[in-house]
Amino acid sequence: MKRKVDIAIIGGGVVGCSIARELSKSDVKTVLIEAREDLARGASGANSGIVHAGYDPKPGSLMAKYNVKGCAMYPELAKELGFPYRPVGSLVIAFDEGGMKTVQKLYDRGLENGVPGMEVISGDEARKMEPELSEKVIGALWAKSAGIVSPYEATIAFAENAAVNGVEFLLEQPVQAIDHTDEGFLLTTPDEQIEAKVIINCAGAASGKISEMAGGEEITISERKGEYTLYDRNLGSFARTVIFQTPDSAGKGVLVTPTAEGNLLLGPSSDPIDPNDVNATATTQEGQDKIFAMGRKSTPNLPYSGAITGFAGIRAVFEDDFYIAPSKKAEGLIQVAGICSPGLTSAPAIAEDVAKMAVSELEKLGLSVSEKTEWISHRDAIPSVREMSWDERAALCEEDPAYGRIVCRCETVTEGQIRKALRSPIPVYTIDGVKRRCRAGMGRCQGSFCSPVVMKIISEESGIPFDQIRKAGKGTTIAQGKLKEI
Amino acid sequence: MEDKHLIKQVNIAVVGGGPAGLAAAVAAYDAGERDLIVIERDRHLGGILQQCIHNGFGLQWFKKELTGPEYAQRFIDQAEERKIESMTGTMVLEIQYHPEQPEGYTKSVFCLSPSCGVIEYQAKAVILSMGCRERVRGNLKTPGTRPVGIYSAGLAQRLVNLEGVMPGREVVILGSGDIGLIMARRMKWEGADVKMVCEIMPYSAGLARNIQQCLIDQNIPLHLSTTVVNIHGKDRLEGVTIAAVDEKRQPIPGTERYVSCDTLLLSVGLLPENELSRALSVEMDPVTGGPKVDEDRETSIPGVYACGNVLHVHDIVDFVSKESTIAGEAAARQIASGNEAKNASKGALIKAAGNVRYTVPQHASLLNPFSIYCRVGQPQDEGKFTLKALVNGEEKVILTKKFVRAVPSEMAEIPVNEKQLSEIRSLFAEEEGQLVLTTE
Repeated sequence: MKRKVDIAIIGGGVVGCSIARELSKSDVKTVLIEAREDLARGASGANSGIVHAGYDPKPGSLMAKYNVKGCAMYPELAKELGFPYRPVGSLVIAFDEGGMKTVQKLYDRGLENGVPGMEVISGDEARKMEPELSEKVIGALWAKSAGIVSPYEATIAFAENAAVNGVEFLLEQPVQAIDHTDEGFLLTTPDEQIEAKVIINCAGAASGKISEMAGGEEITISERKGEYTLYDRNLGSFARTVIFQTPDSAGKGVLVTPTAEGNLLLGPSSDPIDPNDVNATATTQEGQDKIFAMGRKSTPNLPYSGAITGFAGIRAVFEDDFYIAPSKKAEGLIQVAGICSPGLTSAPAIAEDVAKMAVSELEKLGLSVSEKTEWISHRDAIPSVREMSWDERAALCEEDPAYGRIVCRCETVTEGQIRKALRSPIPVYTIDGVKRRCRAGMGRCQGSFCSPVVMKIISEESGIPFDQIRKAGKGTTIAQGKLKEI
Repeated sequence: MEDKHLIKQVNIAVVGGGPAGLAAAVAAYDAGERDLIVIERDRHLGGILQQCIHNGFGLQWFKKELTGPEYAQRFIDQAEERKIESMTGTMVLEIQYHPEQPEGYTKSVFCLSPSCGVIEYQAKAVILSMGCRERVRGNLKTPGTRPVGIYSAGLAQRLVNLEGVMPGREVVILGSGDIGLIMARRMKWEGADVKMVCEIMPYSAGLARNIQQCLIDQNIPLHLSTTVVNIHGKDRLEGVTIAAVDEKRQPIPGTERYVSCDTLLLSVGLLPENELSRALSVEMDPVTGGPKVDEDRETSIPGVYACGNVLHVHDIVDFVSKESTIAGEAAARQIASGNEAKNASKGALIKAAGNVRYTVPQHASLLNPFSIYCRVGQPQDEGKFTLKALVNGEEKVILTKKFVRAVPSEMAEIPVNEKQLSEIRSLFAEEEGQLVLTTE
C-alpha cells in the first residue's frame, strides 16, 4: 500500500510511541513503523521499569536534562493514560566508606541536575524503610521522586492515545529501504511504501542501520545485555522501594525492586553481546546466578525459589549520552539514538523536544503546522479487575458480564479485559500481545492454564483460526497442525 | 456494600468442582447435609480429569478401569442425582473468616461470576478443593532463549486432547512426572517423534505402571540424573542442551549434548494452589505446600477443610476421592452437631522423621481411629514404617508396617486402629505428646 505522510517515526518503543503521542497534538500526518509484531518489543519491553530520579547522569548532559524532566512528568501521564505507575522512591545503598562517598557524589550531582526530594540517610533509617535490607548497609541516598512503571504498558498507552488522535501504526513492517525523493523520503517495508517529509529515527538497537539507509551519520551502537529474574507477586512486598547498589562503569548495578504491577524484580546484569547473535536475549546460568548473588548482597533473605520467569533485554548504548538531533548529513532526518537508561524515564521529555524539532523541519519545507483544536488527552484504559474493590467489580459485571469471567486465575484477568485489549486502538492478535495489555498469562503459571482460552478469544475477535494463533511474531504459532495431520 | 452484591447463606461452600470438591460434596450430602454449593471456576465440573482421556483411573475407588472424563462423570452424575447445587464459571477470589459472625456463618466466600457478578456466600463450613498447578520453567530457572514450543505437560495435554491441535513434532520431555509420561505416549501416538524423557533425579517421579506403559512399551528412552541446561531457538524452539547431573543435581561439565526439538514439555512437579488458603491465613505445611490438617482434614481455621491436590499432591485420583469423602463427611457432621470447633488442646501432632518426607494429617484429635498417609523422600527397599509416641522424651512404638519398596511417587497408608489409639490416648493422658512416623 502507498501512503503519503508528513512524518514517519521508525521504532515502536517507548521513545517512538511517546513522540507519536506528542506529534498527535499537532495538525500533522504521522505514521509510526515498527519492525516487530507488537510495540515495546526491544529494550522498552525488557528493562527494570524504573522512573529514575535523575541523580545519576552527568550534569549538563541530555540524559540529565531529560531524566529529571521526564521523572516529573510520569505521575500525570500515568493518570491521563492509565498505565501502572507507583511513586515508591529509590535507595542507593552503601556498604562502606567508599560507597558513602559515591552516595554523597550522587547527592551533589542530583542537586546540580535539579532532582527534588533527595536525602542522605543512615543504614538504620534505610532499614526502617526497607526491612529486608542488609545489616551491612551503612547509609543510602534516598530519592523520593523515583518511581516504578510498567514499561510496555506505558509504551502501549502512549501509542494507543496517539492512535486515537490520528497517528497511524504499522506493525510487523521492518523498513527495508529508504530512498530520497524531491519531497523527502520514500520508505519501503514488506507491505508498504511510505512517502514522508521527515523521518524520526528511534529504532533503538537498529538506529545505526536506519541512519545508514537514510543517508545520515554513522551511529555506532554498542549493545549490552541485562538479565532479570521476575518473582511471583506473593513476594511483591519483599522490597518496598527501588534498591540500587552504588553504580559502576557497567551500569547502575543490580537492583531489587517491586514492579508497578506487584511482582518482585531482580536484575539487571550488564554483559557485552555479539551484535550478530540472533539469540542475544537468551538468559544464562552465569547471568542468573550473578544477579541472584548481587541481589542477596542488598537483601540477604532474597529467596531462591519463587521465581516465575527470567528474561533479558538489550540496551543500545551510544558513547556516553543520548544522541538527539536533526541529522547534519540527511536533511529531514531526526536522530533519536542511543536511548539507553534512563531512556524510559526520559522518553516523554525527549518527545516534547523531538516533536518541536520535527515541526520546525516541516516549517523549513514551507509548511505551517498548527495545534489540533480537539485533542484527546485521556486513554480509555483496560480496567484492572484484580485491583478493584468488590463494589467496583460488581458494578463492572453489571455493565458487561464478561468482566465476571476469570480467564487468567493467577493475575485475576477476566474475559472482558481480554476482549477490550483485542478491541483497543492498536489490537495485536497474539498471546503475548494480550499478555502485555492486560496481564493474562503473566502470572505464576505463565499461561499454562489460560492460553487455550486466550487463543479462543483471540480467534473470535480476529477471525484468525485457532490453530493459526501465534505467541508473538512470524513462525510462532502455538499449534503445529491439527491432530492426525502429522 | 450490601446493596452492590448478592449475599447467600449456605452451610457448606465447596471451593472447586474437580474430583476432590465433587467427592466432598457427595459425601457431605450422604452424611445428611442438604444445604451446600460447589463453586467451580471452569465452565464444566470435573476439573483437570476432563483432559485426562487415558485410562487407569478408578481401579481402587470404583473397582473398574475408567478414563479421566468417565471418572469425573461418575461424580458429576452422583452430584446431579443428589441435586447438589453448583455454580460453574464462577471463581472464588477471597475467603474471609469472621469468628464473631452470628449463627455460625463465619466464613465469607467472595466469588466473581458472569451470570451473577459478585456473590458472597456466607458459609458455616468451607471445603478447599482448588487442586494444583504445574511448576514452570521460571521455577527451575532454566537458562536460554524464550521461543514458542515450551509448555507444561498439562497445557500440551489440553491442546492435544481438548483443542485437537499438536504443539509440535519433535518432543523432549523434562521431568518424569505422570502427566509428562502420559503425554510422551500421547504425542507418540499422534505421530510425533518423542525423543526422550529427562529426569534430574536418579529415579522416576512417576508411577511404575506409567514408566512401563508410556515409555518402555513405546520405546521412549528415560534418561535419569539428566536435565536441560540450555534452550535454543529465536522464534520457535530449535533444540535443548541436556547434561548429566551429579548427586547434588548440578550439571557435570563435559556431559552436555545438543538435542534438536521443536517442543519441550515440562513435567517437573505440581504445586498445590493455595493462594486463597494463604490469604485466609490457614496454617501451611511447607513440605506439602498445603494446609496443615487433622484426621478430618480440618485446617487451623475451624470449619475450613481441605482435600485433594490442594492439600497435598496425590499420585492417583482414587486417593483424592477417599480423602475428600473424609472431609465432606466431617464437615456435615460438624454442622449437624452445631459444634463449630473441636477442642484444639486435645490430640497430638504427627511428625515426619527418617525417610518419611511428610504426613497427612499433620495433627490427630485422637477421638477416632484414623489413617496416616505419607510419602518417603527417597526410594527404599525392604523396610518398615514405625509410628512412635513421644512423651517426656521417651519413645514408645505404637505400630510398624512393613514394605517391600517405598518410592516417593507412591503414597503409603498407615492405619491406626482402636486398640493402638487407646494406647496412644493412655500415654498422652497426663502429658501432651506427639506422634512420630519414621522409616527403618
